[in-house]
Amino acid sequence: MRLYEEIFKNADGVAGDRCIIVPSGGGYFEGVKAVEDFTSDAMILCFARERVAVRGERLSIKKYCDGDMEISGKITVMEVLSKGGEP
Amino acid sequence: MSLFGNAYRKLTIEGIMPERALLRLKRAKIPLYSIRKTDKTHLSLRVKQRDLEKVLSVFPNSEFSPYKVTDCGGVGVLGRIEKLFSRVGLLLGALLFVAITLYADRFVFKVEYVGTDIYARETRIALDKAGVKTFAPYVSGKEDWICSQILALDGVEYCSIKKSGTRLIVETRLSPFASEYAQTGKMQSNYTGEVIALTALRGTPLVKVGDKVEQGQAIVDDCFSLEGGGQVRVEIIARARFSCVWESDVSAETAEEAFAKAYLEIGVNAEITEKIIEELDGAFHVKLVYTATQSMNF
Repeated sequence: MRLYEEIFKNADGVAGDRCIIVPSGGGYFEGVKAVEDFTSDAMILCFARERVAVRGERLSIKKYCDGDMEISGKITVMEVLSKGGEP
Repeated sequence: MSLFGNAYRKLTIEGIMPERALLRLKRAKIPLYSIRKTDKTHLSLRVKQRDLEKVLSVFPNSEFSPYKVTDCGGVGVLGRIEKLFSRVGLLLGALLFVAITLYADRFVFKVEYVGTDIYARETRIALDKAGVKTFAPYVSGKEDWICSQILALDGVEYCSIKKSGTRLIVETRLSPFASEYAQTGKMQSNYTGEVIALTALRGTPLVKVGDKVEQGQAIVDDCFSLEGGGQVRVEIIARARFSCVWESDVSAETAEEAFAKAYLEIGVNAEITEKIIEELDGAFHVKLVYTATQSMNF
């Protein structure tokens, strides 16, 4: 995991927001400020500087605590939307 | 309920865009699990039991709250325990049933005969003497004595007593050479002498105590007269005791030999009450007074 630490350290010094996707599986997100929209096919997550749209099948939030979120289901598309923060 | 602090509680959040409610819960640093949007205005999620009060304080049950939180109960073991305690009557009934079953297990409600029941009456008498009665607590430790009483009966080669729940199982097996069927017909005397005791549990006595009988004479009839007239044939259950005299000259070299020969003549079941031996020329005059017992299906 040292490579990940190096990557995130170099990314403008912001290591708080992260998205880890398992292809055709779920995902793990750090730094989630809020959930703007939520259905079983799509959800919009608000981070500090971006909004991220996650689409897939049978999506549900397995855990959400202190900005850390685990999404279960089958994620097919992840798209970074326009800049935004907490609504 | 600190015991179930880590157990999960299922909640439902109802309101417009219920996913916005997650923001307030996140700010309250409440971990949320298994969040699903069931329809446009409902969100189901789970929280730990210990965080339930925090959630209810974030969304109090008031008409001004934008979201309504409903507690749907515990999940898993906690849920089952809560359901059990909500049916106190059922729980008490089940405990009462278990207690009654455990208490009743000490009792004997039925005696079952396995193998053969030809000696059922004798077995009941032996059980009564040992203090084992139906609808009473079972008295243990007397099994060997009861078995010895049953094994002493004619033809019995195996006996065992076992308590199974509230049943007492008495297994009796007869020797292959013993008859399983009761004797029928009249009871005829095997001895010539005087009747000194007669007990007829079933059947009609034809003689009384003090009567002189001959060998082969009927002493108990198997016909039983009914009160309203008529007769019915029964299986005799009777026992008789006779006082007999055996007297004869026996050729023997010694008195003991003469007595032994005479004793073999009268049979080993006899009880000798008087013995007179007189020496003759080359022989002995032996007179034996003895008592003998005869029974039929007794």
